[in-house]
Amino acid sequence: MRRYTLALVTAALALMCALQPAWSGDAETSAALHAEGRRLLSQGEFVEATRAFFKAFEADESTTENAELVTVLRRVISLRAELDRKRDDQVWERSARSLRAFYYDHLIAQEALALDEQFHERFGTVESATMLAESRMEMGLNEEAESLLASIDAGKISIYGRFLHGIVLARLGRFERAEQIVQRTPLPSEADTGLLFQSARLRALLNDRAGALTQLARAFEQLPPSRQPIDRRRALACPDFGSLHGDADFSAALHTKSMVKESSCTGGSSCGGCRHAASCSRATGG
Amino acid sequence: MRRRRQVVQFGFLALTLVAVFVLRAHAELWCPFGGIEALYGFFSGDGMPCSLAISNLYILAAILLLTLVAGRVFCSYACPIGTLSEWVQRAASRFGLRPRRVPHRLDRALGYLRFGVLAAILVLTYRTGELIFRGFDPCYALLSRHGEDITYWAYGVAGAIVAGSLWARIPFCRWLCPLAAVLHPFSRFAIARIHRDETPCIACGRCAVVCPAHLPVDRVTRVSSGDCTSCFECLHACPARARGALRWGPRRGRWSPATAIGLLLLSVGAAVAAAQLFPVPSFRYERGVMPEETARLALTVEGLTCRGRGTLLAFFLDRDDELRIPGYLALEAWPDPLRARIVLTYDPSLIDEQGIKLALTEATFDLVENRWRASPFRIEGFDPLKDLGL
Repeated sequence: MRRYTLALVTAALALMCALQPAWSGDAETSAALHAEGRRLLSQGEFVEATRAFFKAFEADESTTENAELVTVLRRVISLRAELDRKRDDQVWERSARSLRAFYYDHLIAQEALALDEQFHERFGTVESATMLAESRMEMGLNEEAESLLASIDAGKISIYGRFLHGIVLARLGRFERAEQIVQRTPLPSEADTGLLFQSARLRALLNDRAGALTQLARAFEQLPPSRQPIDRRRALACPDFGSLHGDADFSAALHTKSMVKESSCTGGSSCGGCRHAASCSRATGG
Repeated sequence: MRRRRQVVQFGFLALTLVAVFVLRAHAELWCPFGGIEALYGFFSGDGMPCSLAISNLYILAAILLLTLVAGRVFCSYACPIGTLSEWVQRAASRFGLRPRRVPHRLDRALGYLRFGVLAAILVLTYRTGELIFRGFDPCYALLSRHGEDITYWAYGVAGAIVAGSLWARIPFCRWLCPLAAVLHPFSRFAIARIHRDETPCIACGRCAVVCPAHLPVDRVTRVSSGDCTSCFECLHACPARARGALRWGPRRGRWSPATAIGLLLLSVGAAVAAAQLFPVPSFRYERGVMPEETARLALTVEGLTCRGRGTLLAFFLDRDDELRIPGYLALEAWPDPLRARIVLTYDPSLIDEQGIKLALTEATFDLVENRWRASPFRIEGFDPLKDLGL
C-alpha cells in the first residue's frame, strides 16, 4: 500500500515538474509578445501591435488583458480609417475624442498631436486649443505650446489650461510666471483627477515637492481602481516628475488607495461596493 | 418517523452538495429567502438583484403555501442550516454535551431578534438594490463555492451557528433566521397542527421536553405557535400516541407525517416545474417603438453574472458608435454566474444576427467615463477573435 502511495506521489511530482516549464514558458512568451505589442503601439504601429497582442493572447489565454487590447485596438484601427470620411461634426468629434483617450492612455503622443491639430483646425475653440497645446507639450514642443496657450483670452481659458500654461512656462525656465499662475489659480474644492494631475506636475517643476505629492495622491485617490495602473504609467513616463523619480514618497503617492468604489461592471471587485449599485438597473431603465 | 426525517434532511443536503460541487449549478436560484429579497425589485420593475431569478420567487411561493398547509416543514426537513444545527447538537449529545434550556422570557425576547434581522436585511437590500449581506451568509458561501464576494465573516457566522448549537437547540432557527421570521405568521395560521387530546394524555410532559422550539405542548390542546417547525419530535416521543393523545393534522382528522414529506416534495417540484414552464426574465430592457415585423435571437452568454452586468450588456447594445443596434430593441436576460441566457427582439430590416453579436462583443468608448471598455461578454459559438479583421 505504502509502495503504491509513494509511486503515485512520485508520478504526480514528475508530472508537475514536466508541466511547470511549459506553463511558465507560455507565460514568458506571452509576456514578451505583450511587451513587443506595447513597443509597437508606442510607435503608432497599430496593426502590428494588434497582431502581437493576439499572439500573446494565443500563447496564454488565461490573462484577459491581451484579448481586451485586441478588441479595443481593432475598434481604434477601424475608427482611424473612417475618421476622415465622417462628415457630421458631432460624430467626428465623438470618434476623435475616443481616439484621443486611447492615445493618451497608451502614451502615443505623436498620434495625439496629429489628431489634435485636425481637431483644432475643425473646431477652433478654446478647448481644442488647450488640447492641442497639451499634445504639443507631450511631444516636447514647448515654445509652440506656450505661444498657443498665451494666445487664448485670459478670461476664457480654463483652469486646466492655466495649469498647462504654468507647466510649459516652467519647462521654458520662466519660473516666476509659472509661480504667479499657481498663486492666482486656486484649485477648486472639487477638482477632478485631471486638474489635480496637472497641478502636481506644475508643483513638481516648481520644486514644491510636498505640494506635488499631495496633489498626486489626491488625484490617485479619486481614480477608480481599474484606471490607476494607466495613470501610474503616465506619471512615471512624465518628464515633469523627473525630480521625484526614485523617491519613495512619489511611489507611495502613485500607489494611493482609491476611494472610488467599483463593481465588476466597471472593472472593480463586487456589486456590493459599486457606486452605481443603488441606481444600477434604473440607470438604463432596465 | 425520526429516521424518515433524517433521511429527507440528508437527501436535501446531498442534493444541494451534488448541485453545487458536482453539477456546479447556480444553486442560489433555489433559495427561498432570495425570493423575499427579490420581491421589491421584481414588482417595482427594477429587476432582480444580483443573480437572483424568478425561480427564487417560485420556490418562495411554494414554501409559503406549504407552510400555510403543513406548517414550517421546510425548516425541519429541507433547510441545510437547520440540518447542520440538529446534527451538530445530536453529535454533541453523544459526547455528553446536552443543550441548555433557555429561560422562557429570554427565549421569547431572543425570538424577536429574527424580525430585526429580517427588517435590517430588507431595508438595506431594497435601499441599495443589492444583496449586501450575501458576503456574510454561510449558506451563500456554500452555494457559491466561496464566491468572490464572500467575506470570512460568513465562516464566522457558520462557526457561531455550530458553537451555538452545542449550547442550545437550533439557536439560529429560533432567534436569528430571517426566513423563520417570514414563515412565522404563515405557520401561525397553518391548516395542519399538533393537537393534544387531554383524555388519553398521561401528562408525562415528554412532548414539551423534546420540542426543539421549547413549546409547552403538554399544556395546550392545539399548538398554535408560529415557532412550531413541524418536526414531529413530540409525536415521536409521546408514549400515548397510539391512543390518540397527540396527532398532527387539521382540526378534524389525522395526517401522517409522511404527508408532510409528500407536500414538501410536491411544493419543490411545483416550483421547479413553474420555473421551467414560465421562465420570466430577471432583467428586462426595452427601447424604441416595436415595428410590425420583429425577429428574436436567443443566445447563451458568459459574463452576464448579475443585474449590474445586465445593465452593462444593455450599455453595449445601446453603444454610441457604428456598431449600435438601430431601431427597436428588447432584451430579456437570465443572469447566471456561469452561463446566462438572453433573448433579443429586434428589427430585422435594420440589423442582422452578426451585427448584434458584434455589438455585444466589440469594445466601445464610454463617453461619460472617458474610457474604452472591452466587452466582458462571450457568446457561445461565436469567437470575435477568430478573424482579426485586419
